[in-house]
Amino acid sequence: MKLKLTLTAEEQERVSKLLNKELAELNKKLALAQLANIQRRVSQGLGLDGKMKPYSKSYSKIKKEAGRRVNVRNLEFTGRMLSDMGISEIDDGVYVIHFLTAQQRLKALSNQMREAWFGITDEERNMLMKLAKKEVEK
Amino acid sequence: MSHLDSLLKKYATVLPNVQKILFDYLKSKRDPVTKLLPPISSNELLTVLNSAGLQQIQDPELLHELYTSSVSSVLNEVASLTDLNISLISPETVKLSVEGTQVQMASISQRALSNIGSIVQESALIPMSLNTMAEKLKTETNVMLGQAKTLVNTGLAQVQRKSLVSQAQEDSLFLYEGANDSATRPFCKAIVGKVFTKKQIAKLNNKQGLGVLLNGGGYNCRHRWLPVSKEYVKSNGLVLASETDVLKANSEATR
Repeated sequence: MKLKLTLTAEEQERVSKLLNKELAELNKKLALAQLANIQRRVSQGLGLDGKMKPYSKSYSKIKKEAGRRVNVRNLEFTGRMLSDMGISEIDDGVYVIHFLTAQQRLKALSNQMREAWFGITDEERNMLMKLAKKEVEK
Repeated sequence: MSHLDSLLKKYATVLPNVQKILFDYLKSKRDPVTKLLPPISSNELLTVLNSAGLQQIQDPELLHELYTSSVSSVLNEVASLTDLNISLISPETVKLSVEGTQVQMASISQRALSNIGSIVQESALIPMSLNTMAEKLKTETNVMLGQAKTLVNTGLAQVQRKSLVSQAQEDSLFLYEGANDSATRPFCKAIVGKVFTKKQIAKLNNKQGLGVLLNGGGYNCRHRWLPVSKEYVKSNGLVLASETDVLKANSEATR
């Protein structure tokens, strides 16, 4: 049996608004997922191009004395830089991952100049695509 | 004194030169079309500084610590000369992320809380080290510097957590993420890497008089709550916390 649904212009607009809302929620879900991906990857000492270089001997000594991990470059000492990551909707349904405060943004930039870590790997991109597909199929 | 502060003190006489050299170098390397700054490796930095006669700093790690501290003024100068926006998103968006967020701590005065809130909001746009923020609080409220550092650090972390938690969706779960090292509190060790519901988080008690959702393990806590979907948890094989985890964490908490 086939059904044909005819919508008025007003109804079409309402459906379109509902779809846009759903899409915005999905984008937000993906932004939060990528933020978690970055944090979990960095905690294992992995940048965008794989394992990040080890800390220098002198810095390792300082980190070790403070009870911090030194076997991987996890970009974490006080936790302030990674905790500073957040998401914002900059346009309808468009989300960005960014840093909340200026000092931590500069620290992140400095680390990025040394070795790229903030961004998205191929593996993460594939994972997000799968996640999006599952959400749409729900 | 923090590691960075001791470095800054040690290299105080060198820093103005480091800034000037970096400034000139960045200006010369900036892409004329995109206005983007070039990525600089530690070795490249070392070469630039050595060529300018600054051989004192040989360790790339220490150099980057100095670079981090001096880069803000360098970039600000570049920005003022070239209309270059160093932020990827508008400063207004950044400001909105922390605006209106109030810091909550039961043990200190409303005036101090309000001051911490203002300092953290200011830090959204103006680069400030923890020491600078603490000095500001000390001047405005007469608290001791050590206490001011703890209060500002905890206040900043609270705003950071609030910003992220406020983006959580109706069906979001929360992953407790962050360091697991010898400096980690037993309370945090019991829950780090696990995924909680909001109801479970409400049952957690760090015994410091600070709510766990916005303060994690308490004062100076380094951990964060990351909102994640059920699908994310499933596809990444993350561990869902049990009631036993909640009880264990609470029993590990210390005042």
